[in-house]
Order: sequence, then C-alpha cells, then structure tokens
Amino acid sequence: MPVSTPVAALRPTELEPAVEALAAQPDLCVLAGGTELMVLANAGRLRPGGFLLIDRIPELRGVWFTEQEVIIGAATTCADLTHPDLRAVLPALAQAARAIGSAALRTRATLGGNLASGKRLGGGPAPLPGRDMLTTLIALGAVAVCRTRHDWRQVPVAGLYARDGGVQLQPGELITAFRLPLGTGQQGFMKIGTRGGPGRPVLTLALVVDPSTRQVACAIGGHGPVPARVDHAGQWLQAHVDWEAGAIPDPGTYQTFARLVAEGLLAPLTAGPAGASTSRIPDEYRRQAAEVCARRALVRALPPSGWLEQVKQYQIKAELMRARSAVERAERGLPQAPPVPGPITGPINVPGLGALGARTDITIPAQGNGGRAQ
Amino acid sequence: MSEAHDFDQYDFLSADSSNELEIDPLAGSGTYTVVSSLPSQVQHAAEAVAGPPIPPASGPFATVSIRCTVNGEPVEVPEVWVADSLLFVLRDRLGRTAAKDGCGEGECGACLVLLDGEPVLGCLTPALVAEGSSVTTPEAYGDGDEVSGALAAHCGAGCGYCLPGIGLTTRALLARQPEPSEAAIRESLSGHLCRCLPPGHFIDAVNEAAQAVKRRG
Repeated sequence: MPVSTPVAALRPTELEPAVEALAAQPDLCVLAGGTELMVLANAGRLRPGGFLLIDRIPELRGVWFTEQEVIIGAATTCADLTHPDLRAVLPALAQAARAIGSAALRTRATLGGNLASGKRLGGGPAPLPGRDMLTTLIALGAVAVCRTRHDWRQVPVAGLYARDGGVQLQPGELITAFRLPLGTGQQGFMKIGTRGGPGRPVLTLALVVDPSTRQVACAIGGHGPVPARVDHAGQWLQAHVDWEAGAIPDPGTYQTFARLVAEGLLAPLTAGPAGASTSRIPDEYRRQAAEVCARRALVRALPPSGWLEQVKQYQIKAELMRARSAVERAERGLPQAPPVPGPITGPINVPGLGALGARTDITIPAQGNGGRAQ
Repeated sequence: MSEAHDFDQYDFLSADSSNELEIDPLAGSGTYTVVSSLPSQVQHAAEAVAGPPIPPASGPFATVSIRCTVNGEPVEVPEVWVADSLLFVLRDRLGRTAAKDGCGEGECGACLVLLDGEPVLGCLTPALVAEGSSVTTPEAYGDGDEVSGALAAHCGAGCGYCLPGIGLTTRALLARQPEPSEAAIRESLSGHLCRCLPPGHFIDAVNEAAQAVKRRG
C-alpha cells in the first residue's frame, strides 16, 4: 500500500497500529531500545527512512507464565530480565541479560533487539552483533513469535537466522514474543569476552537441565554466526547422571562432558565459508574456553551430589510464579493476553537448519505434552 | 592509509540508496578498520560547519520536533534527525554539556543521564525517545551537593571526564540504597570507565557521600 507522506517517527501504544504502520511503510526501522541501532547511527552507518518505536507497547513488554510455558515480550528490557522473580525460574536468561553492557544500557536494551539487530534479509553485509541472549534461548528451546499485519509466524529462534547470521525477517514483520518452557531445573550461562559493547564474545555457553525429562541441553555461541546446540554432549550425559539420587557418581563425567561440548565447536567451523570463525580468536583458545566453561557450568548446575533439594526449590518457585502471574498482571493493569496467536499445537520444523551442523529434528511438543511443567 | 582520510568514501551525507553502508567485516580490506571512528568525525564536522545534515538526493532526512523537560525546564527542539542521540541534542542543540561524549558505543558511561529518573546512556538513546519525558543531566545537581563534594575530594586527581556520569549513578544508587555495600557500589559503578584512578577512590567517595547524606538526614 503506497503512502503519500512517509512518517519520520511513530510511537504507537498498541500492537495493531504498529504492524499496520510497518505494513504501510516497510522501510520504517523498528527501534525498541536503540542500543544497537544507535551505535550504527552514531558512526554514520544508519540512515533510517523513519523509526517505529515499540518501547511503549505494553503487550510487547513483560513476562507471562502459563501452564506450559513462559512468554516473554520482545520489547522486554534486559533490566526486566534480571529481576529476582525471573532469575528464580530462568536463571540462565537472567545471567545472559546481566552479561550485556552496563546497568544503564540494560535499562533500554531489549531481548528482541538483541536478537533482531544486525544484517537483514537482502541487506548488505554488516557486522554481526554479539547476540548473547540467543545462546540461552537456543539452549532453552525458545520459539520466536513474529507478526505481520495479517499473519503470525512461529519459528524456533535459530530459524530466525540464515547460515551467515543474517536475520530472516520478512518486510513488515515484527518479533512480538518468545515462548519457552518454564524452567524447573538448574541453568547456567557463561561468557568469555569483553563486557558488553559492540564486540563479539569469544564464547558464550548456556546449560539447561530439565530434571523432569532428565535432559541436559547445552548451546555454545561466539564461534560462528549463529550459536548451536551440542546435543550429543547432553545425550551422553543423560546416562551418566544418577537422577534418582541427585548425583553424578563418576568425577570423570565433568571432563568428558566438557570435551564433548568443545568438540561441538568443530561442526559449525567446518560447515563451509559461512560457518567459518568470524573473529581473530584462535580456534584452539576458543576450544579450551568452551571446555572450561562447560565443565564449570556443569559443576555448578549438577554438583557431584545433593542437588535434589535445589530442584525442589526451582519447582516450588515455578509454581508460585504461575500462580501469581495472572493476579499480578490484573493488579498492575497490564495486558492479560500475551502477543502470541494461541498455544502451539503441532510440530514446528525449520527446513535447512541441519545445515548449521546442530539440530536436525527440531520439534515443539504438542500442547499438554511439554513434559516440563509438572 | 591515505584512503582513510578520503571523506567522500565514508561521508554519510553522500547519496546511498541503502540504509547501511555495505562494509564486509569478513573481506579483510583495509577500509573496515577506520569506519568505526571516521564517520562520527565526519558527522560532527559537517554539523559544526553547516548545521543539521543536508538531505541527500536519494531521500530526505527524517526529522521531528521534540518537546521534553530538561532539569525541570520545558524545552522544544525543532528539526531533530530521528537518529540523533539524546546526548547530541542535549550538548549541541541545548548547550547542556555536563554529560560527556565518550565512546559513542555504550562502553564508557560518560554520557549517562536520567530519563524519567532511570539511568540511560545518552549516546545510545535516540533523542525522540525523550518526547514528553523528563530528562535530568548532571547540571541539575551543580557542584554543591554531598556527592559532588565527595567525588571532588577523592577523585579530584583525575581528569574528571567520567565524573558527571558517575555523580548521577551515585545519586541514583543512594536514592535506592542509602547505605550501599561495597559490592553494590562496585556493581553500580561498573558501567563507568575511568582511565585516571583506581576504583578504590570512587568507592571511598560513594561511602563518604552516603555518610554525608545520612548526616544531613
């Protein structure tokens, strides 16, 4: 739809006008916090036709707890994500948010902005931002919810990116939320690199334990354009943990797990030019970093014994958050409905994701079969 | 690196149909290294000479008019480019120069201002976000309060470039936690880079300011 007078800046307070404006004027640059875009603008490398500000849309900011999942609005700030309530149930996400920049930067930096910044579909090459939150979201098995004027699209977060790391958002498409299983187990996030800022980290690692399904998911990032899950390490670990007693009997387990995770770095590195290392960090250093991070993360998440009590605490906190969520939203006058089209009812597949050398069989369990929540 | 000083090559005013200049970080060409610093110099130089940027042939520069409150005083700034930073508008359009222009990338914390009471980085906050909001710059406190006094006493040996931002952070911290622990002080000051002094001076200053504020009651 042609528009006679292009808009310089729009700041809607609801989602509908936002997606309509984006459909009418696809060259509008979506700006949530601006902490990535303004770095480019300050350097004279961004000249937007106009800005669509999404920082005052209540539907896009906040966290919803439902029976099966947690839904996080795309414009939720990193400062929001470090809130103690959220840290109690999604510690890896809180730690990843805490690793971004300084406190003043986190008041504006948003989860969606961290994932959507950087090169776009059809756009020229642009530096790849750190996207530290992405590693954690991939380990958590998060699904991104995108909205155009007429359509919803749901895709596992890794599916938002092309092999070279470019964001695959269609014109007029807006990320509205991320849905992830409510954590009921130990999690951890580690980062080696400079403190926030525009530089890419040497390595990011997220570890997510789900005691109810006895699964350990680990994702590593920083080595290539897109972080990847190292499922073989998690699968190997599954049989080496005494889930009943809450213990890891063999002390050698930690080192073997770490080595398996570090081997996971090799897959994207050998996947071709697009998967090649994007920084000057020697691969051997990064491999060692991955090994050390994986071992530490596992020791903290699953110490040699005595973590059953901790798991119980996580489950209690998760229950509490679920119970409080709707009540608190009503009390504070926040929107009750999250910006998603409804519960996920079928498998979501990403064709071609196997090319990343990571998962080839990404499916989202049907509703009621999440296995995570009780 | 003579091409590094060829302004035409990097001038963001020159006609270019895409929003982002196409620079390939993987290409390994010599041009990539200079890009992070040069265009901001170009931009500042262009604006110092000729005012706001001139619209290029490929399309107009989107500008807006902004009304907000700065240190309690209502202001209106016309013709603000949508991607102008709040810091630029405060310093170059409104003359409030206490917040400093440091790295322009969100690393140093020298540009910290309060937006509706929340600490934000002036250089990474678009000015149009301040529309209808209340902005507090370090000028609001002058140099007469306890925090300024303590910072001057303990950190006066430094160059002072980081101090306006640190002062605002300290005031925000003390408003939140009147008796902050050392860990809380370190955490809140971690977003400010100082190349002159070790952190101990700043921790002493914040502790002294906290005691002085407490004595005043």
